Amino acid sequence: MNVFAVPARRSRARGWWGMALFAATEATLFGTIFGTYVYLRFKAVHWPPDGIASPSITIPLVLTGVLLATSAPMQLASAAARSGRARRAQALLLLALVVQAGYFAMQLQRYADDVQAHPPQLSAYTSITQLMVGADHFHVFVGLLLNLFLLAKLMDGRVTAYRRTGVQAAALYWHVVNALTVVVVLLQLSPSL
Amino acid sequence: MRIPRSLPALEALQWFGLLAGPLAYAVEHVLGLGATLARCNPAGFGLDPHPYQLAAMTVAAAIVVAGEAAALLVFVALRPVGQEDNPPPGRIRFLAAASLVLGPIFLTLVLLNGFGAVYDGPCRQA
Amino acid sequence: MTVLAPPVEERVELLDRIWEERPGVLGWLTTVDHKRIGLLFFFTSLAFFAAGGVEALVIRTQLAGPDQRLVGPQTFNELMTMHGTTMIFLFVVPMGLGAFGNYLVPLMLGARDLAFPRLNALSYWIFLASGLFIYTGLFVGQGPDQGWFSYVPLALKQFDPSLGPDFYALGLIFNGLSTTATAINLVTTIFKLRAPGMSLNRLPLFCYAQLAAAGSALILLPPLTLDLVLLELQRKAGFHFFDVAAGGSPMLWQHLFWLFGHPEVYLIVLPAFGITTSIIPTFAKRKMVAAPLVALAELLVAFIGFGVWAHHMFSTGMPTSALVFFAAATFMVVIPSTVQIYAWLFTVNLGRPEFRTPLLFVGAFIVFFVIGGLSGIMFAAIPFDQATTDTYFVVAHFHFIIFGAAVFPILGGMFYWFPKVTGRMYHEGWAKASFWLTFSGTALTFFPMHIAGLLGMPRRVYTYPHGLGWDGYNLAETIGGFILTAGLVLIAANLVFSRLRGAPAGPNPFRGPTLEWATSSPPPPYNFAVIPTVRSEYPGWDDEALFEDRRRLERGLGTYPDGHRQPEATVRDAYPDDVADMPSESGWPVAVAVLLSLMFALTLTSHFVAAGVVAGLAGLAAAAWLWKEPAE
Repeated sequence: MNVFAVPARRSRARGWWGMALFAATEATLFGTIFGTYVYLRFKAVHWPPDGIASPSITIPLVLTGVLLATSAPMQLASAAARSGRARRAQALLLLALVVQAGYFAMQLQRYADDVQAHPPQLSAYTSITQLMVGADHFHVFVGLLLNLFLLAKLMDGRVTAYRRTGVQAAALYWHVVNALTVVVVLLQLSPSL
Repeated sequence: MRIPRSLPALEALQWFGLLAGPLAYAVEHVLGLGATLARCNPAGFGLDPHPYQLAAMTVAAAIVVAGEAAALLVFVALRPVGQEDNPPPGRIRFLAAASLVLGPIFLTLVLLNGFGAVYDGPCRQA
Repeated sequence: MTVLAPPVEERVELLDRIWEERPGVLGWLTTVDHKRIGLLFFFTSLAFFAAGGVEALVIRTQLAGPDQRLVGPQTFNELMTMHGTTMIFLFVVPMGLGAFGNYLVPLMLGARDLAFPRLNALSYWIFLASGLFIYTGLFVGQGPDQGWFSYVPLALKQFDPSLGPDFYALGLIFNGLSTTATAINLVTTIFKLRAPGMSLNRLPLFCYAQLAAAGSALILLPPLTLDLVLLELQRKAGFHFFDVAAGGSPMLWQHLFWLFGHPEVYLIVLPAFGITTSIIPTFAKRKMVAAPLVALAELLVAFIGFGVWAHHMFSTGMPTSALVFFAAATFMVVIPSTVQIYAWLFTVNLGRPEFRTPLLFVGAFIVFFVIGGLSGIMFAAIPFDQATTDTYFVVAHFHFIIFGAAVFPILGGMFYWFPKVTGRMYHEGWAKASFWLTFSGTALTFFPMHIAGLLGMPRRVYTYPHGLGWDGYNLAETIGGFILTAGLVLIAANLVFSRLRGAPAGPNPFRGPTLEWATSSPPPPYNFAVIPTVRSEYPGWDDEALFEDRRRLERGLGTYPDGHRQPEATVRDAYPDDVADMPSESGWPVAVAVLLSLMFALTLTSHFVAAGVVAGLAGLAAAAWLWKEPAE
C-alpha cells in the first residue's frame, strides 16, 4: 500500500481536537454542577427556601437568546478563516465580540445586584445558584479574552494555519459555552417555570 | 435480512453497534438512580419510580440487543476481511469484532439495574 | 551498527541540528521534548513514591505490635493521609500517564512529539509545584490529617480549623490541572499524530489503554475539582453545601468524591494494563490473542468504572433501590478485566514464553490482580460490604489492586524499557532476585491484612491493644513491608548501576514489536529520521515495512527536514493529510507554573485580591506564550 498516494483531505487540526477535549472536560464540570443543583434541590421541601423570591424570567431568557445568536457570527468567522479571508473573519469576530461584551456587561451588573440581594452565604440554594451562574459568566469572560486575542493576532491581515485553527477552536468554545448557558439559565429559572 | 454492501452503511451500523449499548445503559443508570433519589428525598414529587424504571429497562434492553445485532451483521458481512487489513474495511471489521462482547455485558447490566431497582420497596434503607 | 551512506548521514545531521535543544539546566527548564519531560515526570514521581514509602514504613512500624508509641495519633493521621494522597496523586497517576504515557505514546505512534509540546511542559511544572505545595503543609506543621478522601463534616472549618484541608483541597485542584493537560495532550496525540497506515485496528494496545486512561481522566477530574471548590468555598467564604442546617448535605461530598474516586482506580490500573499488553507479546513471541476484545476491554473498564461509585457508600443508609445500580455495575466491571486476563494467559500459553524479568513482573501482576479483583467483587454484595467496610479487609483489597496490579507492571515496564531509554542493559540475575524479594514482600505485607480485617481490625487506627488476635498478622505485615522495601532498593540499585556500567543494548534487545523499538536507544530528539509507515498491528515484526522505511530515508522521503515538522493524520484511518509545525523550546510554561503556584499560595492564605491579580498575570503570560506561532 502506498499511503502517500491518498489524496489530501482537510480533517480537523490537532488544535481543534485539543479545544474539543478541553470543552468536553469543562462541559463535564458543568454537568457535575447541574447534578449538584438537582441533588440539593431533591433534599429541599421548599425551593427556593422560604423568604427568597423566585427568579424573574423575561430578561434572563432574552439575554440568553442574544448570547446564543452570537454562535452564528462565530461559525461564519470560522468558515472565513478556513478559506483564508482574514478581514472577513476579523469583522465577524468583532461583531460577535461587541454583542458578547454587551451581554457580559449587563449580566455582570445583574449578577452583582443578585449577589447583594441573595448572598451565597444565605443557604444551599443561593450557594449553588450563585456558583453555577458565576461559573457560567466566568466562561463567557474567558471567551471574550479569546476573541480579543484572535482579533489582535489577525491585525496584519494574514491567516496562517495556526490562526485558522485558533478561530475554529474559539468558535467551538463559544458553541459549547452558549449551549451550557442555556442549561444554566433553565436550571436557574426552574423554580419559576 | 439483506446485508448492506456499501461500506458507509456498514460503518454506520458498526458505530451503532459500538455505541448504542453503552449509551443506553448509561442513560438507564442515570435516570433510574435519579428517579429513586427524587422519590426518596424530602422533595419527593410523589412519583412512583418503578414503572419508569421498568420502562427504561425495556427500552434500554431493546437498544442493546439492536446494537449487538448490528455488530453481528457487520462482522458477518466482512467475513473475508482480516482484523489488521487496510482501512476502512479492516478497521470496521476490527471494531465490529470488538463490539460483539458489548451485548451480553450491557444486557446483563440493564436487566440487573431494572429488576434490582423494582425488587424492593422504593425507599427502604439498605 | 551499520555505517550510514553519506546522503542519509547528511539528512540525519540536519534533523539533529533542527531538533537539538539547549544543553544544561536551562535546557531542562525550557524543554518541550516529550522524552525529557517524561523523564522529569519519572524521577519526580519516583521521589514522591519514596516519600510515600517512608510514610508507609513509619505507619507499619507503628503498627508492628500493640500499644506502640513511635508516633502520636496526630502525626499518624497526617502520615496516613499523606501516604494515600501521595501514592495516588503524586506517584501512580503521574507515573502511568506522565512518565510512561509521555515517553512512549509518541514513540509507539511513530510521531516526533506530543500534540502540544509546550502544554506538556506546563503539565510537568504544575505537577511538580502541586506536589511541593501539598508537602509544604506537612513541613509547616499544618499537614492534611483527615484521610485521603477527606470526608465532611470532619474537613469543615469548625472541626478542622488548621490549614490542612486547605493544603489538600487547593493542592489537588492544582494537581488536577496537570493531569487534565496531560490527558488532553495524550488523547489528541493518539487521534492525530499516528504514523501513516496506523488505522484504529493497528493502534498498539498500549495506546488504547492510554487513550482509555486519559479519556476517563477528562471526565473524572471535574467532579473532584468541583467537590474541592465547594469545600474551599464553604471553608473560606461561608457558602453552604455540606451542612444540613442550611439545606446542604454531607452525602454530596461523598457522591462527588467517589464519582471521581472510583474511576480514578481505573485511571491508575489502565496504564498498567497497557504495559502488560506490551510486555507479554514480546516475551511470548506472538501477537496478543483477541486484540479487538482487549482493546475494547480497556475502554470498557474505564466506561463501566463510572457506574460503580456508590459502592463506597453502601453503609451510608441510601435506599436499596438506589444501591442496586452500583452493585450491578460492580459485578459487571470485572468482566472486561477478566477478558483481558484470559487474553494475557492464552497469549503466554500459545506462545514460546521467555521468563525474563519484565514477564515475571507482569506474571505477578496477574496473580495480584486476580486476588484483588476477587476481593473487590465481594464488595458488590451489599451485606458483605456493610460488614467489612472500614476494616483492614478493604485495605488489603485496594493495596492488591494499587500496589499489586498498578505498581508491578510499572516495575516490569521500568526493566522492559530501560534499554530503550538508556541504551544499556540491566543485570538480569539481580533483577530476578529483586523480583522475588518484591513479590514475596508484597504478598507478606498485604495478604494478612485480609485476615486482620475479618477479625475486626478497623482502618486508620494509630494503635491497638494486645489480645485481639491481630498481633501476629500485623507483625508479619511489617516484616513484609521491609522485605518489599529491600526489593525496591535492589531494583533502584540495579538500574542505577546498569545505567553507568550496563552492556550496550542496541536498538531492539528483546525484539519488541512496537515502533519504539524501530529507532535507536536512546531515541534521537526527533524520534524517527523518517516517519514510519505501518501495515500491521506489530510493525516492529514487519521486516518488509522496516526495509521500506529505510529505503525512503535513503531517497529522502518522509523526513520533513524543513523545521520542527511532523505529519498530521485523520482520526480513524491515519491518512496523512497535513504537515504540522511543532513548537520548539520555551520558557513560558515554567513562568506560568510559577505564577499559578503563587496564585494558589495566596488563595491558601486568603489574600483573594492578590490571588486574582496573579491569576491575571498568569493569563498574560499564557497569551505571550501563545503569541509566538510555531512556524515563526
